[in-house]
Amino acid sequence: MRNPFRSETEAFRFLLFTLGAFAAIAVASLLGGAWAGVPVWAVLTVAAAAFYLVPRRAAREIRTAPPHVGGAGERQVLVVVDGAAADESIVRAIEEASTGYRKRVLVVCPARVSQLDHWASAVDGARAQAERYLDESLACLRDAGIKARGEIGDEDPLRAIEDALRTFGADTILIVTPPEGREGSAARDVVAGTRARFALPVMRVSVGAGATVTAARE
Amino acid sequence: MRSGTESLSPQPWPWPGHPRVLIEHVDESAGMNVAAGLRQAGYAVAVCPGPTQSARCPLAGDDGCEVAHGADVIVSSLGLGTPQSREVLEALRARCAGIPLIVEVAPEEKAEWADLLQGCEVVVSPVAPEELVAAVRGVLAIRAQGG
Repeated sequence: MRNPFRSETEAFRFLLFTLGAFAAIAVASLLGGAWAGVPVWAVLTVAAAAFYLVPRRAAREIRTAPPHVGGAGERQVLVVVDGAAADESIVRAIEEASTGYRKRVLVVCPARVSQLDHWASAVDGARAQAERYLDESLACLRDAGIKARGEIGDEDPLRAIEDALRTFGADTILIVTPPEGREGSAARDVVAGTRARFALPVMRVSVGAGATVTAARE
Repeated sequence: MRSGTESLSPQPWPWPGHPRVLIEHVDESAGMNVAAGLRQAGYAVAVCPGPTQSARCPLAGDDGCEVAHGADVIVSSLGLGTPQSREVLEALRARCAGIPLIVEVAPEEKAEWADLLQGCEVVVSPVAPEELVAAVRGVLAIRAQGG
């Protein structure tokens, strides 16, 4: 779904569309009588709803990845915490991804918002929950002796990853999701979308899965 | 190359200061291996699986390809065995003329398609990722010298 008020440009586009729609309805009513504006209104409403509500197909098939940063003996791991705070399974996954290397870890927690909150621009609750997940995840890593820094990301997890990769040359992406079977389609879409968009090894780490780490390519 | 213009990031290559290598490879895992090798050598990478049966490479049509146009080096491992793959190579030569092009070919293709490969850096398959890294370094060095 696209938020028409997400940016000034989108809001301005929405304003122009609204003005154009009113003009079309008015013209139709003037030319064809009062009721002639109704079908125009209906068509424009359906068109606008389709434009803003129907999810866009992730058409991107060219995958990109940043250059490796740091020495040959260093591995950078991007941990995306999506829908649940990381537990000890992330520690094992990080060790697996960086065995024999010095590691640098960045934890990103997208501030996921519901569609209703998205439209109402009420993001405080989502941000607070993301901060809680982030703090708990960083504490879990700290307890395991892994130094990591963390940040809150965009509400769209794929955009949050893209933003992180602008400055963090990750060699591996680990996506923390709720337990297997309870993660929901949104989390699965994030894993699939990340694999489709980035030319990096991507692993899903289910919370509470003990040693279970889903392989990079299922 | 497949089209993805609508969902592409506003900047397909958001890593300034690093040479950008577009890898075209039909084999997903082989393409990822090449990408990993090039990343370790300090290059930003993009991996394209090439055209499908139903979708033409946008570079061969009117759309163009933002990723290809923004690359510093293009590595094509699509082979030359199909009309689609040859069309992509022709399009790369015509529309990305200033960008060094490394083409991986089967031994028998090198002589058969000599005209098409003119001006390209040709490597004969199978090629190890480190050989491709060396080839990329080589063409970038030649380019830096104005060659």
